[in-house]
Amino acid sequence: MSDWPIIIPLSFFTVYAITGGIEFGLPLLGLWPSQKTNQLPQRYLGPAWEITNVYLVLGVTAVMTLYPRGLPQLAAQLQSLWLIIGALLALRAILMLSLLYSPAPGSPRRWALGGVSLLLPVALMQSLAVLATGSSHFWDHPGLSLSLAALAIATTLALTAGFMAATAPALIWRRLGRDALVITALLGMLTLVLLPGASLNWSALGALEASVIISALLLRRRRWRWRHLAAAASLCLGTAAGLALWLQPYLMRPTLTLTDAATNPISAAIIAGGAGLILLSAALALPLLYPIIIRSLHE
Amino acid sequence: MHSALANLSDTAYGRTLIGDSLMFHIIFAAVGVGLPILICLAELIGRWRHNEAWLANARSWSRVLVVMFVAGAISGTLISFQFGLVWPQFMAIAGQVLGSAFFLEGIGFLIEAIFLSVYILTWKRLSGWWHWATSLPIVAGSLISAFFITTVNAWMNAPQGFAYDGHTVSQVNPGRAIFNPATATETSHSILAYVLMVAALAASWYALKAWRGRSSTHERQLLTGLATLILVLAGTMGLTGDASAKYLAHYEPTKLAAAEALFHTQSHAPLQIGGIISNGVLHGALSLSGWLSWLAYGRFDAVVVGLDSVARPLWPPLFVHYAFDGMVGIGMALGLIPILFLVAWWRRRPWTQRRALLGLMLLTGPLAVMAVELGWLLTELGRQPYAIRGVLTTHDAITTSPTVIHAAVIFPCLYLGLMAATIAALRHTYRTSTIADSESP
Repeated sequence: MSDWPIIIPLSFFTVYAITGGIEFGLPLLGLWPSQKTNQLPQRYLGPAWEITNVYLVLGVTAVMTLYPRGLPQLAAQLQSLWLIIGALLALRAILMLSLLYSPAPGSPRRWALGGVSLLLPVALMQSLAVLATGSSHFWDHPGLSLSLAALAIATTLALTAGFMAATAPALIWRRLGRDALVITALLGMLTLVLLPGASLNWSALGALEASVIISALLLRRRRWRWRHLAAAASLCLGTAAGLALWLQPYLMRPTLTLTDAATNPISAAIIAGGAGLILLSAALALPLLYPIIIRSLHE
Repeated sequence: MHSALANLSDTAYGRTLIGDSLMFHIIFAAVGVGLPILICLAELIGRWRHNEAWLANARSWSRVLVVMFVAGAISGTLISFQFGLVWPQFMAIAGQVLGSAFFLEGIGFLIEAIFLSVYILTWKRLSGWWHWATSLPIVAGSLISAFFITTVNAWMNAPQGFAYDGHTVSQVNPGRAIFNPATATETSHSILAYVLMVAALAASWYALKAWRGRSSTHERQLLTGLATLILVLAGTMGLTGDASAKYLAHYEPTKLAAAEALFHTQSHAPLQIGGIISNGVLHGALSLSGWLSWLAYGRFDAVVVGLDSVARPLWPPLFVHYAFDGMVGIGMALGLIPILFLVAWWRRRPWTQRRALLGLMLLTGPLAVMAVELGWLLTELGRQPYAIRGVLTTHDAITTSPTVIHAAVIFPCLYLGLMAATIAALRHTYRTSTIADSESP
């Protein structure tokens, strides 16, 4: 009973990883040296993207309400990291709003936005290092930490390049998207291997491999312009599923289990069975709006 | 002793952090609740009367809402982090009892976010009433969100629907927890205050334009309409405020006693306005004998509980008396100013002769923001020393991690930066929308 509701926060975090990944990568591609190439990512940048933070809030709320008894332990270990993430989010919003009224290309604020946007997924991924080791010092396992950081950057680039490949005809985005996808898949497997534990978790690796196969099949659909983004999203899902399977039955290794942290059955049933499903379907419907947003930005 | 002081200090930093965050966020949250209603009304009138000026209002206000929503979404995100990271013990209890309320608040937030995007991006794509219809879910989402998050605060003031033995939460009844004795008064009073705040801010803006002689005929009509709305809302808030006072007398007598600086339990309890509290005595206040008894229980001879009913360590900070007086005083001013303005309008005095009244209308926005902040301070500080009244003290609820000290310094700076960026973005939005509106046929 206490295990399956974890799908709800996990789904929100995955949707956030996909939409947020595109959002975080746009400032980077907007810094592309070729002015002809960087114009479109710059145009796509805008405060409307900040709405994707709703997914993050929903994911955090889901953890807090479905697993409240684990919060003291989670807070003790994740506090420093997530306060840094909060500060980066606020800084990013400040830069984003300031670029709204002063959109000069090549300005220091644009570079700062690119840097902060890159740091955010890196910092967010370090949460996995904390959850995997139970240590608030995520740098205690430097190999894992570096692998997660590289995975965050590669995933961000794969998603953003996939998004650009769908909306802009430039060949550079398709190439970048394909290369970033390969690196993401390799880094995903490396991360699973580096996770501390007695033996390799084959079900986790299987989930990731399945997503790699799906990504490869999606890439073969050459007439479909969203294929690169769909392949990157599939890889995101596979990585998230793999990491979740590896973490089972813990919320934070090596002591905090999902059962120990879970709320009472009545609240869990209400939240997970009712509100959770409504929210999940609404959250999954939201990406359908992005084509409207994109068309409007093109106009 | 040293560790005890350090512990106290860490608690103070945690409280400062969450206090600053909520104080900042409440402005954006209030705009997120009030502005969709004004936008919906403006487009309704515009469609009904086929009036382009009202539609232009709805369009420009929706641009403002997007900028405010961005800042509000970020500050809301930070608060959701802080609930878990800075208040882990509180969330360990509240999460089990009120998890569904937090989730329902999330549903409202999501609906608002989705349809705000749709509303903004479909001005040219959807025709007439269909476009107006997309504003309804924004209003519904913001109200759902505001209702359920205020319910959580109401539950902190009047907790029920669970049992807690100091370690384990049991007998959870989410329905009873959500619909607690404070829910009706607190949600109605808060939501009305948010709408009033936004109406007053809009009135301030159009009063400023009229003051500078730059307002159109439509904008002057709009200002008159906003004055009427403020008057209606302030009057209604008088009723919900009265209900809140009666609720406090029954369920939170210590908060009422602190708000009224009533140190002794007594019949014919006086309503004490103003004054300065020094050494446990209120000096220089206007005292109306028996009126507090009447307001609380409907009888002049009713006994009202004073602060002497609880031990000194359980008293809330006495500062809440000033917050209460400030909030009520501003509320009355927000009722009086529109009356003066509307009387001048009714007597058809020319706009050039209304500069003093325009000056007063200009003040309504900042005053309403102050009233919302003071009301929030009264609610939160008046419950102290408890986070969940009678169940969990703030000291036990909040983390004592040293990390919070850094966060308590860094986050207020970031909030100031976010506020400055928001104001600059709003100015830019105003300029570009003015240009766009002037260029449109």
